Amino acid sequence: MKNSLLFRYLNTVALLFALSILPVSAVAGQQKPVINASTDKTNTFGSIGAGDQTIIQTLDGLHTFAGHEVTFSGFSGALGMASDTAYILVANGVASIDSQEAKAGEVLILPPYGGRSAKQRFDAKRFTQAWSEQAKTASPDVYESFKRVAKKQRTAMFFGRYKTTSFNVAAPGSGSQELARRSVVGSDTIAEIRFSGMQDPSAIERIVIEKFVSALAAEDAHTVANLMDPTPFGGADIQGGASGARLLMAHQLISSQNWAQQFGDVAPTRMDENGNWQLINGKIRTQLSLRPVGDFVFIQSINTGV
Amino acid sequence: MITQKIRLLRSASVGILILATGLTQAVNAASSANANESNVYRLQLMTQIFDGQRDFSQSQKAAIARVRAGDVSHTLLNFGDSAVFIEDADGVAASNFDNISGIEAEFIYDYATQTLSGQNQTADYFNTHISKYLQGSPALGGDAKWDKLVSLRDLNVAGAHGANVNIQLERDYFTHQGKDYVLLHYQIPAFSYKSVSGQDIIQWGEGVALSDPGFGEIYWNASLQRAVATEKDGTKRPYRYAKTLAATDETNTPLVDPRNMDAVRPFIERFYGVTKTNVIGFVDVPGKPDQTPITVAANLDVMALSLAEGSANETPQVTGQYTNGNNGQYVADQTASGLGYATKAQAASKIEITREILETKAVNYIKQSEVIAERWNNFDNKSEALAKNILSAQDEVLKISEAVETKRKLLVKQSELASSLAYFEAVQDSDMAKIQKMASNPSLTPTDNRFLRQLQQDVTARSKQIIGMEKQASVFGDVGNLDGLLADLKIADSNLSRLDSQFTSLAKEADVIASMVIVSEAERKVLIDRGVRVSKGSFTDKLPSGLKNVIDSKAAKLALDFGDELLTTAGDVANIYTTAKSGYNVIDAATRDKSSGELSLVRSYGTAGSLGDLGLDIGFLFLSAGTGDVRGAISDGIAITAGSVSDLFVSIKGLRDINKTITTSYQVQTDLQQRRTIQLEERAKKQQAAFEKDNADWENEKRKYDVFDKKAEAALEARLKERAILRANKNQADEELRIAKEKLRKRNEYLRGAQQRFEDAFKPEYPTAKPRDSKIEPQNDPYVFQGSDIPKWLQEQWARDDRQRKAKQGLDEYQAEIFRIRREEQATQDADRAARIQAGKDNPVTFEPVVWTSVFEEIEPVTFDPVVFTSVFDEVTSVFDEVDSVSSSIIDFTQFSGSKDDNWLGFANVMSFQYQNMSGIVETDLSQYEEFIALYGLRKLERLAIQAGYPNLASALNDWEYLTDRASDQGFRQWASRAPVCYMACVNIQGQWTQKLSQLALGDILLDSRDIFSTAGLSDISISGFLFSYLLRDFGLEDGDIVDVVIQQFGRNIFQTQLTLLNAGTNFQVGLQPGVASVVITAVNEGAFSPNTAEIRFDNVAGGEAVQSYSLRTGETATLRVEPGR
Repeated sequence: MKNSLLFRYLNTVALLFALSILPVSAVAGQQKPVINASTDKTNTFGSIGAGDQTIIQTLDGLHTFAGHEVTFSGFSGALGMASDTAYILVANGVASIDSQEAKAGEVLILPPYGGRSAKQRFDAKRFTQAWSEQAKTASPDVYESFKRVAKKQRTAMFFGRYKTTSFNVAAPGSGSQELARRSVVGSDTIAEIRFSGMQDPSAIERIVIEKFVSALAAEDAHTVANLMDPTPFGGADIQGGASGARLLMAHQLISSQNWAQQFGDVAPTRMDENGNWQLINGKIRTQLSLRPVGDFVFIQSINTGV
Repeated sequence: MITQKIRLLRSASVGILILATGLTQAVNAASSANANESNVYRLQLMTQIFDGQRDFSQSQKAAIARVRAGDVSHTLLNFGDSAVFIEDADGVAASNFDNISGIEAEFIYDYATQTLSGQNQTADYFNTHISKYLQGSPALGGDAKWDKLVSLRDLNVAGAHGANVNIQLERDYFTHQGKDYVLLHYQIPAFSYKSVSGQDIIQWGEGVALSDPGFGEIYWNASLQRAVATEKDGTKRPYRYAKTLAATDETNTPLVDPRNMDAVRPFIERFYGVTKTNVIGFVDVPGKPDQTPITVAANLDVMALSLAEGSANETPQVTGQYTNGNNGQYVADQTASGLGYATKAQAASKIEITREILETKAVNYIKQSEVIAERWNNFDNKSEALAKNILSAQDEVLKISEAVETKRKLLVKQSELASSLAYFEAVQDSDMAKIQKMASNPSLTPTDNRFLRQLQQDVTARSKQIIGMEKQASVFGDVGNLDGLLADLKIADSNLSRLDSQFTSLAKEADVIASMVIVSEAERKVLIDRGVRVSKGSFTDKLPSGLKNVIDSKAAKLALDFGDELLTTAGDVANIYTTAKSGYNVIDAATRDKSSGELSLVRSYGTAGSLGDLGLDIGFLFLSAGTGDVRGAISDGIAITAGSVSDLFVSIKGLRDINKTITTSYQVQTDLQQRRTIQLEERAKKQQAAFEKDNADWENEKRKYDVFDKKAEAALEARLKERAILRANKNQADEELRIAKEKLRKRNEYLRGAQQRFEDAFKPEYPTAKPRDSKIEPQNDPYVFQGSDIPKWLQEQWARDDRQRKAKQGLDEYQAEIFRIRREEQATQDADRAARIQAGKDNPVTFEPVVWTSVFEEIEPVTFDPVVFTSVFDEVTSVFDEVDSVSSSIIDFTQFSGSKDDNWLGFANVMSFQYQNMSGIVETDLSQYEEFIALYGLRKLERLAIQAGYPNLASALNDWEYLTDRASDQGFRQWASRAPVCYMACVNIQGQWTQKLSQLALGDILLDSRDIFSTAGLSDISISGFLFSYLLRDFGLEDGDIVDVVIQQFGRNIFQTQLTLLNAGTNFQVGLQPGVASVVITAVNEGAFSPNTAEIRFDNVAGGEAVQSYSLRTGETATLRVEPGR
């Protein structure tokens, strides 16, 4: 029996994750408010953006996070968002999605588009080492909870049950790749869509189109820029000036027409299966083309005509 | 440090001649009055420029020397060998280029007046557009951060308009390992403008430069600028301009590793990260992309670097020269070697040599064309005359033959008449004798008297007949004999034979002319490909008047414009390339439109985009000379010359077709003649048989006839007539047969000769058969006319002809059979091979590599020309020796921390740099793997090879031992097949997994024939070389053992035979391809004594037993595994 347990844990060894240092440090300087479950007010989880990590002191009940319905019970831990995952670190209590229940020392990994969540173990020691002094001061209880988890894990590692890996959920691949990826899909606009739980590609396309159109009409250059195809600006990495260029183009696009008048109140309709949509407002027809980049679709072009 | 000499080729206005040890002396640049610096080093330059349609990457070496004394610096810049790599949506192309020009640029910069001197665009641009912005720059020597607003107009882009461009500048001084450095950094936030074509463009960029505090040495400079242009249809066209300069020493080792510097390291990823260097976003919009963003980027780069330095030092100078100015002239390697390229040390004379070679070639071509034309004319005239003569000779022979025939008939009739007359006279004499005898007998019985009276009547009647026959005979007169006619016939025949020989010689001449034309046309094509416009006569001597002067003066002018450059114009029609910032270096020949030019690495171009008025191609010169008619005149000249040569070729070709038609029809006639001859032969045989039988019968019959028996006389006469008819029929049949055979013989002889010698024979007709004497069988029959004897020469000739005909017929039949068998074998092999190839296509190796954002995804196979990448330097360490060549040895990465795979400075991602450094050390020849590649598909193999980590397929196949070992290793297979333990977006990990899988896939393909094992007592062998030679013998009692032998490679039969084993053995030699081969021996029988045994002896065995034996029952097989090329 013991042996079988040992072997079971050995299987788990390979799935021990370490969390990145960087995002926590970054968050520490701009730390989100700690959610206090005793009040009715909570921050919406949608305010957690890519790269953010939020420490949760206590949480109970059913909440939506990253497009998933999560049941918290006596939970304390952290929530975080990377470009391609959202995650829930459990220091205390339980966080569960459907039948997956994560306890202390475990992490729920939530992929975008409502994908099936995964439960793994996280390296609590490395996580706590990444905490800034501000974070420790702001959430000492949670910090201590994580440290207890780390201690238990240390024991297990001593007995050979656990082994660390170098995989970082918060920055898969490498830190630089995560930052590059964030420059493309890390914006709030896109994260909101990707982690909305939506799975239907057609619905995703529609929402991209609708957000883009709304942003044009509202002269929201940031949203317009975030939804514009990043390929001409650098593709997989639009850091270092490319974002600014895209934003500039968004401004130019906005100022090129009276889009509110152009669109009116009409809703976009799909033209074909190749990502082409249109809005017909009277005699004015606007065609938008989408381009898939990675697992998202961006606005590749917009043309208007009579 | 290396001791170097600097020799100034041109005396500077500074008037300083410095011999310096090449230690870089960095002096506080702030105290310019005391500044005294000298730098000599090499540069590695790279650009990667993308305009949405094409990614142009250039890697180049250069040498730079700078001297500063006080407020003046003097710089020499010499570009060296280059490599270019171009990728577009359709594929890639790459080539090395040898630099053949001397020092390309020379600058003198005055720090006091902030002016740059030098006869080139770089200096002009600096002085006109950049210098004014230097006012108010922070002082040197201390860290600084400032912004500069620059007018778009000062980016020197015609027609572009927009707001000013903000350049954020930063200058940091630091010390690293005891040495002082300055790091310049500029950022250009996104700005927008409209190009002259009205396109909306948004552009941004960044650059960094690391140098010594005096800005004399460019340790490292990187620039990355992007732009997005909105096309008319709303498509966003991306642009990307990336440039790197890095200083190296004479061993081409970089002087500085920026990764080791804390201040510099953060910038590496920003310029050389994988996402920064990938080529993405090919835009499918028709038309040539507007190059404005590239020009803006290049000029911004120069502008920003100058502003950051506060002066025009090396970095902006080199940048400007490299991207905007003249960076040298090149010949592609293949052109160079094709023209018998001399050593690079003769830089100055190279162009001259090339020009001379080409000019000589062109002149020779013209001369050769004239020779061909003359020979053809002669041939034409001769053949026409010969044709007439042959026709006349044929007519003559025919005429004489007919005369012979006529006379012969007469002779036959005459002889028959004489024969009859003799017979009648004989009978008459006999009867007369009987009458005399009876008349003198007094005691005749009444019966006797009656018989006597009958005799007398017969004699009387016969006398009349005889008189009648004598009269007939006298009508014939003296027919004479055939001797005279036969003699005439002989003469006519020999005349015809003589003409026939002339015809053969002339046919050979036509063959020679045809070959000359083919060679000449190939030569012409070579010249045209080189850009030579072939005009009648030599290039310059026969140019229209005044044009030569124009060309010379233009050359002089250009020489003046470009200083020391060895640029020549007139007659310089080699593959001269220049490469400019955007890769477009050619003016379209027809439109003269700079923006329409394209660099193509397989054709010759002459003009440089940045040297717009320069015509290196003769055609351009003609155009630019302004004499519009000249080109037309030259074209006409070309047309005339080309036309005559082409006509020659066409006419010969036409003749071939004509002859083919004629030969075909002649063949048909010959076949008919053959059939007719066979019929006549049958008939003649029958007649002969009948005649012989009749002869035999007559021998028995004639005794029965009593000349005194009147009743028998009639029967005798009738019988004799019957015999005469038979004889006549036989003779006629023989004669007709002889004629037919003769005709056939001649026809066959002509056909064989024509097809073998020259197909273009234009006179299909040939003399008809010669007549023969009637071949009357000599008989000892006194009543048969013997006729004249057949001339002995004719008899001998007939006998010879018959023997030759039979022998040739036999040979033809044998050859035809061999050809038929070979054709069938080939057809079988081809069908088998096609089926294998199709099977490979239908069932391709598939696995799902993860998306790997590499430029090599989905590209056409890249053909790298085999380049021997030789060092072109003398041992002289001076960079600027007379030949001003730049070393082209390969950069060694290993001494730096990390390996080349760490993407040191990002060079590994610059395709042209990879290409330049791999050329000469990377296998490129795929010719030995042709069949293997054909079987599995080049595209698939190329992709697997690249994904497996090889630079190209040839390298992978050359490393087949490693790949097959890997694929055979079960441990590796298990490990490689397992997916990486990673959650998502594990780009690197999945890339490595893809690499392993690709290695496995390649190894498996190479191992395709690995499942071959030696059996039945045979053991594996390996042989050196690829010629498999062995002897198969029955080493026991030779008892008739028969075996089938099949040799296979890659699933297809390459050799197959069946043989009976002999003690002496049978030797075989079969050429093998790289890869395993199997030899399968199947016992067809067991001979007289079972089993079927044999011994095999192998030649050139590198491993295994050289002598082996097997023992098989009927139907059993023995397999031998052979590995060649060991």
